[in-house]
Amino acid sequence: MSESIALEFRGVFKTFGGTDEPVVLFEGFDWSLGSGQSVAVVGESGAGKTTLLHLAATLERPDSGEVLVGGQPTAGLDERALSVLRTNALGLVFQFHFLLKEFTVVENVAIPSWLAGVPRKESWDRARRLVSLVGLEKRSGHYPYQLSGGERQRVALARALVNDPALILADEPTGNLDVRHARAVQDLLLDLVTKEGKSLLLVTHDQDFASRTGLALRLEAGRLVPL
Amino acid sequence: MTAGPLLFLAGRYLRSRRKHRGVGAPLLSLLGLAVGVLTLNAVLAVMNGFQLTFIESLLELSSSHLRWTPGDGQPSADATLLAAQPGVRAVVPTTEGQTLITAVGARRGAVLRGFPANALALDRGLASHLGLNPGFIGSRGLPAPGEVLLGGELARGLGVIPGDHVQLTALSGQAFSLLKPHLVDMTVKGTFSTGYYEIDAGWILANLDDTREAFAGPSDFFYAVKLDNGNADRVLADRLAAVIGRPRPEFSTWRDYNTAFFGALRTEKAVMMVLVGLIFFVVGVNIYFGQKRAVAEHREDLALWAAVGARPRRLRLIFALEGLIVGMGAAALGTILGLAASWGFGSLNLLSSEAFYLPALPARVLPHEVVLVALACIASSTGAAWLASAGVTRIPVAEVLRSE
Repeated sequence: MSESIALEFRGVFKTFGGTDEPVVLFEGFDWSLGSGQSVAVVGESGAGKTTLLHLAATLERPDSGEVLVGGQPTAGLDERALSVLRTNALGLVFQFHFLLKEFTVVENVAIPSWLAGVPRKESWDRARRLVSLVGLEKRSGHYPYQLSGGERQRVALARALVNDPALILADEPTGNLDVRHARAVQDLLLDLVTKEGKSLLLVTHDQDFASRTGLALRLEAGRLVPL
Repeated sequence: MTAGPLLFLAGRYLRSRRKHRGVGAPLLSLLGLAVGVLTLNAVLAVMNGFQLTFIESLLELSSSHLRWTPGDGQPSADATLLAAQPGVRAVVPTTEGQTLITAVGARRGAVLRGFPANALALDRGLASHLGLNPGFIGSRGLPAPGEVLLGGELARGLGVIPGDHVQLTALSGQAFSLLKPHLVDMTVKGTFSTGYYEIDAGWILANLDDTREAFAGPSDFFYAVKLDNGNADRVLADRLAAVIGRPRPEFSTWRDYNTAFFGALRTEKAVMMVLVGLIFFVVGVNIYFGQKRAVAEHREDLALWAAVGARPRRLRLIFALEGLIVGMGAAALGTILGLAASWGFGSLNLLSSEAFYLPALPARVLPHEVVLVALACIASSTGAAWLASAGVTRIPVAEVLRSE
């Protein structure tokens, strides 16, 4: 398997709903994302963008076919192996930040690393560096309710990076932000690709943001077509 | 994944819930369990105090750990051999019978125990539990021939004091229908108190020579054997019978002749433990539903942790750890308060000694019971939390994240 493939879908079938009236989202879907590449996927609501991202994140399994992350097939992996894969290889950013209200900024970022087995001090050091990277070093001791929407999303981005994943999966990361904050988050994500060599699969409704990535695609009828 | 992050998360969730809900469910659960531990420890200490004090006194004063009844009803030189055996604390020749005591027109039935004059020197346990009251005639100690010691309540009931004369009724004859009573004059040497009304109001101690001569038949004579470890009674009965070459049935143990009574005490204690222990069940149910609610409240958090790589089975430990923290806190608090209460019961004179015939409320703490109660508390709390957290493994991660 080529190491230049960060993410690959091979003949993926995925349906939604019960057996009576299933909605077919993907039918023999084949697609791959190269390492260091940034791809934006746009599409109408219900087209399957989030499902595509969840399949890539191994949060959902395909009905048939295979998803490979960093060249590693995921179909045969048990819960423990999938957890390890998600911890080490994937960084997830959601439309909603999902920050934990009981924890400070730096704790929100550090805990996934600590949970992954990195010693506590090192986890906190990593977290402080990333909080600084997203421009929130002065807010590291604050709680999520003390942050603006844009700041929370930047913390979520720092959290996604704490285990240094090769592939970042972002689902509408700027969907809830005003223009200024959205721009800041976009810059951060795109810098990760250009400066850090990470791969980015981005789902967005924002055509401007999509156009700033290396490749913008539209998800239509279970197929990715050029925008 | 090590326990460090899980403990950190559990502690933070617990603190957060307390902060946001004031005196929250965890604190109430902790207090409820602590009250249970406190109550169980205090109740058990007092029950142990009553039971063990009574049992020990009964064994030391009355029944002894073993009784050897020689088949011929006569004193035996083998007694010296028995006393020299390891595990044997004392061997005292004794008689036990009943009599009628008459003094100044008053008459009472009583148990007549015959001891040699040096029995208190032979048997320190007897000496420590037999309180000799002031006002003896002659030297303080067990009676010489012609003398008796009366239980303090018996003496008061008869209206006699040391130095007075009493008459004991003895029966003689070859068959029941031919029994003839005769009166034996005795001098009251002194009185004793044991703390047990039945003994103090119904016992007469006399010299063994007197009782064997006038009051006791061969079957009333036995050797009272005290052991270092009362629980080794059956093993030692077997061994001692073998050592002196006597039939095993000549030996009986305190379990044989007190089975019903001690069994009732054990049952009483077990039932009390179950009844008070129900508080653990009630609080456990409270914790169960509290933790279920906590899992539901943290659904998004848990889905996120799972999404970023934490295994749901491990995440479940966060909520079980909360139960463990609550249980350990309650066990520590309840144990401290329970021990303090037990000490207080033993130290404070809460009951009228005249009304209850008790100098003080007895309390005896048994370490293994304290540990058992603490473990039960921790187990109920942790178990309830663990069961309640089963939902963590069933959270549909993608669905939760999508719905947000």
